[in-house]
Amino acid sequence: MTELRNLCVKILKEFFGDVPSQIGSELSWGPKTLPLIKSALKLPLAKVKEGLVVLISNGVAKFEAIKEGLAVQYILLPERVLTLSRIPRYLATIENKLGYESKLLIEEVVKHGTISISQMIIKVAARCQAENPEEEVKVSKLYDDAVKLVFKEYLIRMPAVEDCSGNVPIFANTEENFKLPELNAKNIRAVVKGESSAKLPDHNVVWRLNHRRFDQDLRDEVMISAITKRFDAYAGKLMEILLKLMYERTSPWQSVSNPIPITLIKDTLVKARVKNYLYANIQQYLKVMENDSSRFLSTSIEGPNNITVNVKHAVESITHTLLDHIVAHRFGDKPRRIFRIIRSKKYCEQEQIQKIAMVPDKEAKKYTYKLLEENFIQLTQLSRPAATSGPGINKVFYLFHVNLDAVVQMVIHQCYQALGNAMSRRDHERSENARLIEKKNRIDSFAKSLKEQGQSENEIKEMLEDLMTPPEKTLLENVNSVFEKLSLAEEQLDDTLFILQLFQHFQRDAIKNES
Amino acid sequence: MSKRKASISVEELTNGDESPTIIKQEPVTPVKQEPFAKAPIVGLNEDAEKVLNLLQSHGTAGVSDDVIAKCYPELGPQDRVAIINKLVAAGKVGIFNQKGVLVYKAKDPAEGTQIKGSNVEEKTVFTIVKEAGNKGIWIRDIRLKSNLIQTQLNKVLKSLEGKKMIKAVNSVAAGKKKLYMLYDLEPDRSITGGAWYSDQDFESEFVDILNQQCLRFLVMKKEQLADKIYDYGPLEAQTLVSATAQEVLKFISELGISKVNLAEEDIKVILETLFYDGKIEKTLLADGTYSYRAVEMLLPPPGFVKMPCGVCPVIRKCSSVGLVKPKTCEYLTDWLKKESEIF
Repeated sequence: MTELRNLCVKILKEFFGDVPSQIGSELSWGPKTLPLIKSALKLPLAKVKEGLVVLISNGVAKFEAIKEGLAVQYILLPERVLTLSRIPRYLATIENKLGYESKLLIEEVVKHGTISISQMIIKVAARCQAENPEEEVKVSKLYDDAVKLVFKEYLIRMPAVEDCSGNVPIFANTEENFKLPELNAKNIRAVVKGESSAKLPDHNVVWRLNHRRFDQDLRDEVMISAITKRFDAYAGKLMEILLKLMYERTSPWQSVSNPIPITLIKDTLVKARVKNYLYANIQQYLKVMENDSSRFLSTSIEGPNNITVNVKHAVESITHTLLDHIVAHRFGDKPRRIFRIIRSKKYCEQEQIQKIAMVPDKEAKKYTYKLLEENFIQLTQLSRPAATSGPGINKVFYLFHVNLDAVVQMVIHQCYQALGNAMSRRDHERSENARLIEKKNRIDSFAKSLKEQGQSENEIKEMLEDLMTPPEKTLLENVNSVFEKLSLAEEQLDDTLFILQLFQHFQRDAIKNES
Repeated sequence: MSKRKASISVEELTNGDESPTIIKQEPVTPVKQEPFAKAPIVGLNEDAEKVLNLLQSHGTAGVSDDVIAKCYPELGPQDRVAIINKLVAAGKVGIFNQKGVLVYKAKDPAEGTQIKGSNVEEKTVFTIVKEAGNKGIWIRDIRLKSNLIQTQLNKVLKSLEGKKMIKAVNSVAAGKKKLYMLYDLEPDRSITGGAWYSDQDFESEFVDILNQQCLRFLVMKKEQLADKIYDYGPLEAQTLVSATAQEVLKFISELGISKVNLAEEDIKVILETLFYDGKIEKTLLADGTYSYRAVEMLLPPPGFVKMPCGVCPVIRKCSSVGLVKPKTCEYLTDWLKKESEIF
């Protein structure tokens, strides 16, 4: 787990600074109590407490009572830390789906970790006002958006504190995760306009991001884009509708949806006033998607007019494709062929592989052993007992197979490693070019102050032209492109990681259901 | 029983014509050739081969002159005599007197190659080799079956080879393993490896080219329809872009890239490799065969492999300390230096 540890520390450092990351690093070895953390870090108690508050309010750590309530220990949640780097994507999806104001609201929640709805609105309103002083802020619009975010379950309500007399506060045990508190748009508006400073009634009902809801959106995106790529945009649209209908009748993280009647799909299209090619050929589209090897859909057992969405299969198919790509890029096209053969045949002997793969003997062996060495495939030995095969003959069968869970786990770790690498390389580049970057910042702030003094753009440009030498300029450009490349790589790595984590999620669920 | 004769004359034949025919006449249809007949017979003209084929199709029942005359009316009595005598001389045909009627029977070609002077050992080994058919037999198995000692067996095999009665063939499965079979047999596909082997070497490039061309054909089919795909329903469109192995075979044959004649089975094997490449999908048709179509993968290449770490050969040794570390990583440096945008 070293990769994950390193990565978590790096992410914490980037998001929350030094102290929280040091605490995170301590906690990544296992749960610890406050005195233990303090003594390990040799920091003043106040700083440690502050850091812990940051971690806990952002949901990347939690606490629990031990020794019958006599002490409290703190626990780091590594998977939550990883979601921090996914936040830009969350913001992008929200802006796409619900608009700019919703994005600002979510941004505010991210900034504070937990926040009450009215505070959220007030802060966003203040920000909008600052950005655009001429326009009046539409508080009612923000209010509606905030309510919508709760209604759509993008925000989740933190449980209220019932009793905080002991060492550990006791939380109210309610199921109402998405119940809105008493809100008054008028009061909020009054505060925004500075007419009142009274405490709003919902100040102690705080909310945080509902990561699962965001992940659900991202998952839908992945599924729809996969279908669009395999078939066409109409099929993608159909998938979108199917998923929407699925959530009306099934909890979103079930591996198989409840049956969806075809007539309902048609009704949805009619309601959306879509009477195009898709509407005319809906049955055929369903058939084509059902027959495909990706197995996103299947006809329900309840009858041919019902369709079920196989989320688990879909995620599996996508993960397969992902691994295929990785094998192909790392080892080549023929190893990918071999990898796929072994996966689809379950257990496979060497001879069988080269026969199907149509690869020369030696090459096939080379690739197979390479895959084995890199842990993409596994080897099982089956030896026939000497008694049955006759004296002196001890026949051993060597069977190759793919342990998908293990492969996914391994690739996930490599993703952690790669993500960590990208981040530490970025840090390295930054410290290498620290002087240059500082100079650039100084010049920028100088230009800003000049602008405030009323100098014209051209004058400023001329004045600043000579402050940096041409080699410095090219160097700066290079450094910037390096930063850009690395952050883009980090973002894309997270896409890969997301799919693999989805796979693990459904696999874990399956194990849970079996037991 | 029937009595063997060395040759016939025209008189005998005409005599035979006059006597009542006892042999039951069967309708003669071209019968599928036996494996032995596959070997081309050297030194015989077309007519002789025709007659020989007819005789072989009747097997041990034998054929009277009448039947030959009926089947091949274009051959006169003189021609027939000439042909039969030629065949008898070549040892391909035997003449028998069956209840007063002359009957010709095709001899087993192996029998035909039996040369006088073979001793018991040679005969035994020959029979063992003959039994193995066109799959051949390994020298160790011959030794076990014949109970001959190695040196003696080597001598016998050498002598038989010298007489051109048997031959040694190398198998593609095990290059150094010699397999013995009768001289005029065509080795089985499992030994020669079929279309994919030339002199025991797997023709990797040939397979690759076929693989590419098959894919090109299927992709072409898809692209041809791309403009008017929405004139059809999706299911119909899918059928239109699909092709059976036979259609692919036709395309490949017309391309003329293959020197050997490819069978439908061969193309199926190639299509199977494409299927395992994830580039095509197959659908089971009602008659049990598959139709194939080109498909897109579900995902574009993931972000992981676009970065050097995703394809790094030493990622397992990578850490924040030591020789392999991200700060000084050559792969990362090269990648970051690259001007071209790879994303």
